[in-house]
Amino acid sequence: MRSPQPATVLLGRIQLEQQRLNKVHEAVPSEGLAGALLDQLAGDRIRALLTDAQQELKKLARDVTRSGVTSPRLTTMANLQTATDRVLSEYLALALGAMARAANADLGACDEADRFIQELAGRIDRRFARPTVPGDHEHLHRAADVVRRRVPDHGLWDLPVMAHEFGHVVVSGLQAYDAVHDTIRRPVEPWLQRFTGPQRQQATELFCDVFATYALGPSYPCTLVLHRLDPTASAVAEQTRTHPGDASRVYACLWTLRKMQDGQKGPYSRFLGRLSAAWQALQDGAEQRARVDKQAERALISDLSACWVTLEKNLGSVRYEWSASVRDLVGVLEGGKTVPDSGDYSSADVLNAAWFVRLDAWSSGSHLRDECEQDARSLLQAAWERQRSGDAR
Amino acid sequence: MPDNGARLDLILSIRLDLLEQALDEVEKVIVAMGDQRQRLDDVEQCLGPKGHIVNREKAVKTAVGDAINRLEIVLDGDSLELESDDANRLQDALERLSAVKDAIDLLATDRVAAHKSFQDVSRWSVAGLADMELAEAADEYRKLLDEIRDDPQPWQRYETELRGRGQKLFTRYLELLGGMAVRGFGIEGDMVGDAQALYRLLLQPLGRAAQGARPQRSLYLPMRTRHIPLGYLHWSLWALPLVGRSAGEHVLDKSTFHTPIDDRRKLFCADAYALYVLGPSYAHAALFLELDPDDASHDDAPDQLLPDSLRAQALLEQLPKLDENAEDELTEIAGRLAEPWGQARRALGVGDVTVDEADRKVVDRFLDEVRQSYPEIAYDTRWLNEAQQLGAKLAGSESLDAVAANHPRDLVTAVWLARVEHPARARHLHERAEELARRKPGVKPPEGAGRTRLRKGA
Repeated sequence: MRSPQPATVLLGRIQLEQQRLNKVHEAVPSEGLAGALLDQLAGDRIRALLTDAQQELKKLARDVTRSGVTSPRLTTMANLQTATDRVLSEYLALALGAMARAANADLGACDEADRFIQELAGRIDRRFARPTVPGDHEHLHRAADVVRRRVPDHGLWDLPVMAHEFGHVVVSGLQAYDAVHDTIRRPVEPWLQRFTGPQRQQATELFCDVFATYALGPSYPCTLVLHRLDPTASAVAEQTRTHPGDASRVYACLWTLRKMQDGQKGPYSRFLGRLSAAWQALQDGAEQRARVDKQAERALISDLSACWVTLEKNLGSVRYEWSASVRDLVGVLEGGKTVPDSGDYSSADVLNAAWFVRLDAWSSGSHLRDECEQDARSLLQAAWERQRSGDAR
Repeated sequence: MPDNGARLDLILSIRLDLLEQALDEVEKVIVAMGDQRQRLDDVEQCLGPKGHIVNREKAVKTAVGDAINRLEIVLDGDSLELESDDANRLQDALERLSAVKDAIDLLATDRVAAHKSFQDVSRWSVAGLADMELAEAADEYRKLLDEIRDDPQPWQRYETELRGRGQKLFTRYLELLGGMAVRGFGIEGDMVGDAQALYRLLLQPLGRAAQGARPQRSLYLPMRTRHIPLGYLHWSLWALPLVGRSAGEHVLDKSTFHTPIDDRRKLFCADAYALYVLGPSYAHAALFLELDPDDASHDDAPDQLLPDSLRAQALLEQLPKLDENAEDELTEIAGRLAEPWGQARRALGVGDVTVDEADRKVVDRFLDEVRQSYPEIAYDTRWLNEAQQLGAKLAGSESLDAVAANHPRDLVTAVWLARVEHPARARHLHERAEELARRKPGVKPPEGAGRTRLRKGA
């Protein structure tokens, strides 16, 4: 019995893979609101990736036709298939996200996240503003550079996580021109070079936690400690994990917040005291491995100190400064007060005020006003509107 | 035996610092007085009988008299024959010169009257005082403060010298000058505004009718203490929270509380009320500036119903109880107050005192009633950390451009917390706090200041 030649099999695979890629163009909406949105989000980038994939397949087909099947070519084929899977998966997620946004299935969460990220980007470089689509968890996909917001999430209380995702944009995109040497450097890279292999991924995540705290103040650690992290998880994550251990992440955020008020007493002391106490209480029944031990603490302090220098030197413009407006905003969110006409506040101020009120209500066992979240959203909208009109001027 | 450790306790140190700060203001007045005196001398040299105006007046009168004589000779007709028109013109000129002569006489009369009136102004002006003697007196006062600082028994020396009659007279004199300094350098307006803002808050339970009430503070009204009735001290930011007690007494007089409060306990309750509304700043101002660690004022005036030591003890006990959610922080603050207070009392050889349980119960009940009825005026301890940070900024040297204006209650809290934290930076703190106090709440910092920092390096 004659079996098919390896070259025939491989060329057949290449052909099917090419057809698969072609189908993407037909399947994905190109018209209507979703099409326009998709195009706006990452159309060019995805098209470029698809074209690249097609060209790679074409080149492989040419090589197989000319010189037959070799072991490296089989490996190339396998890699290309995996790559196509990744691109298609990203494309599909993007398309679904765009359709969900177009149908308002995210209830405006992504629109809110877009504006939030735009505001943060405005403090560094407007070009860093990346769009968001709904996803099953928050992340930044490197293929399309599009941020996913988990939908549905905990609404306003989870918005600070977007600052962490924006941190990924900064890590990969921030460049600084060195006029003395006429060179471009990537300011975060020297810090990341301390880490190799899988540690580098965890270090990037740690940087994004520190960055989000640095850019927002207490609201990010509040979300992480009180909503997200697992107090029973191992403090030091295995190398196969993408993120550092949860207790290490808590340590990093609180360390940063303390550093932001120079280790002195200040407006963050209240948050620090409550978050530390809450985390400690949550860890009461946890195993020893869930706690940051002395050795891990020493390593963390060394990494965080270097990270802090990188932030201060290169990203000082994004550093959150506690504002007297927070007090007025707390008054509004607790009810009974209106924002003074001269009120000048950022979305970070609103998030910090909202968490201030929430922590207070939790601590005193009182009830958070039903309207609190809605009022905070209105304040956020007002902050962005004012910012937009300021930009227009 | 009293503890006479060489180290000055914080209470005496702050009181001496404040007197020295007042002396600085007095020296400003002395310089201003010298300047005024020079101006008065200039006016005297102008208006006086041997002054510039008299000399000019004489010269002009001589010249006009000469011109009149010459014209009269010409018009006499013996020497020259004149045409009718020329004679008329000369006659006209003669009449005008005569009018000028009369006007000069009138001006001379007016000058004499003005000079006489100026004599009164000069006589009653403080600028007429001998500034040399004043400067020497201020210098001596400063030396005395230094001596008290170096004395092995500083409290005893302070008690003896500053409460002695001679010093008291001098102190009153300085008070007048300190008051002038405060007026002359524009502090008064700001302080009045701040005191009124605090008063409005303190009198809120009395309703709108009380809002127009003026603080019972005057440049010339002595403080309750008999120690240091120096006007300037009244008007420094440090003493601002002391309006709380008089406001508290006023509220107690005008409001109806269910808690039965007799006259003796009224002062306890007034202190507690001030503490409730103004927070830690009131306890700081009362202990550091007003209350006598040795109850000497009570001994001098037995009609005073409560010794200061009991008032201080009550304040120290009530402070941590202001808010159970901030008990740790408030206990720490109370501890920092209790330490120098105890040190001062030990230095004066007096022991601990205990607030009577019955008194404590009345005050607690009164405070519960105030809490229930007027929660909106309570000092909000949630912003204590913010006040601490503001205090650190004031103690630092970074520009205050980006710092927003604060309510006087928060500002005095910040300066007092910072003062205890950084005792050596008291003057610096006061200057910067005054700068901030001149800003009105709601006024935004300059555009772009502070909210985001400039990107460095990239």
